[in-house]
Amino acid sequence: MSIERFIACPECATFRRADGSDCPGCGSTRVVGKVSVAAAALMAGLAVTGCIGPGGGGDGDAVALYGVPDTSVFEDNDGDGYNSDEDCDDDDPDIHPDAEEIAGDGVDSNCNDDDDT
Amino acid sequence: MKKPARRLFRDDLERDRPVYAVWELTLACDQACRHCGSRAGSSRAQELDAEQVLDTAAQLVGLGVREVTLIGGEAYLHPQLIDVVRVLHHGGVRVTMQTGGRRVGLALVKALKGAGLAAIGVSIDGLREAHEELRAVPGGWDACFRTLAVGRAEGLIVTANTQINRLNMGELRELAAVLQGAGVRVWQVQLTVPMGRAADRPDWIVQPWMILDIVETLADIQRDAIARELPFEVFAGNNIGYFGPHEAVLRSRPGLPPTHWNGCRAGQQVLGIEADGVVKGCPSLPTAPYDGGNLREVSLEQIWQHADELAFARDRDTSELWGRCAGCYYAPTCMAGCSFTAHCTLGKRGNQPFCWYRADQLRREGLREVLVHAEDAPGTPFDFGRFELREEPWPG
Repeated sequence: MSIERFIACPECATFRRADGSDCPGCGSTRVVGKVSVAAAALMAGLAVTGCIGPGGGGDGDAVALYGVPDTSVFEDNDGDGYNSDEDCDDDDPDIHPDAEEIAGDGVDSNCNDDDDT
Repeated sequence: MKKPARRLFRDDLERDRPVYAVWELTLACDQACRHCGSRAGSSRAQELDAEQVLDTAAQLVGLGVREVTLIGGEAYLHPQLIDVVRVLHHGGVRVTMQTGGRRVGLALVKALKGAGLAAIGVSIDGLREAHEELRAVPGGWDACFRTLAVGRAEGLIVTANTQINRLNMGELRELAAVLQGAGVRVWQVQLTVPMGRAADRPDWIVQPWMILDIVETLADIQRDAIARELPFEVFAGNNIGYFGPHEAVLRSRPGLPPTHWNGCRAGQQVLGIEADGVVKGCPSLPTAPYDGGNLREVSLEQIWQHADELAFARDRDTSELWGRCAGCYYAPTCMAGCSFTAHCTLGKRGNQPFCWYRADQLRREGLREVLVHAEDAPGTPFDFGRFELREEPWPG
């Protein structure tokens, strides 16, 4: 099922469509881009980490239900010092954001979405 | 590659597969909370037997469920709790437990941790007076904090879960400070819904316009924790929101871009199991309209794939919406918020008055909505009565 994603308005932080139509919170028609989304995140009090932009149909969201809140992001399965929210392979202790990258080995060892740097 | 268990990825969303399950092991409970949605206390008449319990655990593993939260009643009153944790953990499932925390001692926590439990959540519904009024058992508040302390000491992630109602809505800041002091890492907040015993206390249910102050207060608490770099996350449950300027701060997770409510996931990526084997699309849904079948008679996989009662959210569209939700800017994504909250309040899904955006829009029009109790609940687990919704001028 495809879910329409909204973008935080750079003027008031209310979620709105990214097509430049009126924001339902403040009426702003300012076109939303990566920089303004980052501004909206900061306005909302959020630290801007990771990529900024619309997700793909809820991609990456956590399931919230009655019961224990989502805490799986706070675990470090491979014991390399990085929790699963920042470790791109939390089953391999040789892969984490501070690991040495070996260019061209087909593995993104330092979690920068690139095997060459 | 292992990813956080409850993060939903494109493949999960496209295939409608069970990612997260909440399993009521028993309805037996050592408390008798006056707002308990399942009217817990005594065991259900026919709870799954030992063999069926272990088979259910194996079926959850086989279906590829990534996290299971064990609840009750009180899950620790079930004789096979440790075995269930072990089977699930060995099957690669992340296992967590939600508890009222009245009798969780060191030996139990060690056994749970040894079997593979990852996190324990304790239900704390206010400061001492409000909590104990709701629990109907003296001493319960202190017991909750002992449970948190033991859990932390043994290396479990500890969380707290609070139902917000009229008894505690005025003390959220104070409660947050106490929880921060107790080392709570994540605080899940949700509204008390008029289901089960809470349906018998309509005076405890917040009015829809009260959501404005509640959400703003929770967002302030979260922003303050961020500013002070406290490891304390306010996690908005499914029935609190939606879409206002505070949505991102209450629904986004560490390391991810700002996000918002994306609609009820019942029967799409989540399921709930009752102690007698009934399977629903979400553990909180009222039983009678959402009973998808019983594990005594049919497999979990068959229920997941074929039960209409679980599939209601998979292919629906905005024609299901009514009232103010039908014409909302966010309607196709929101689909009237939390299904169980809407159903238990107004008698059917599709119109959810506990919404910041809606209450704010009404306020701008000089209006607010109030719920008027219209029908009692029959008195069975996961039952509900009915309220009528009226608009009135915003005072002053």
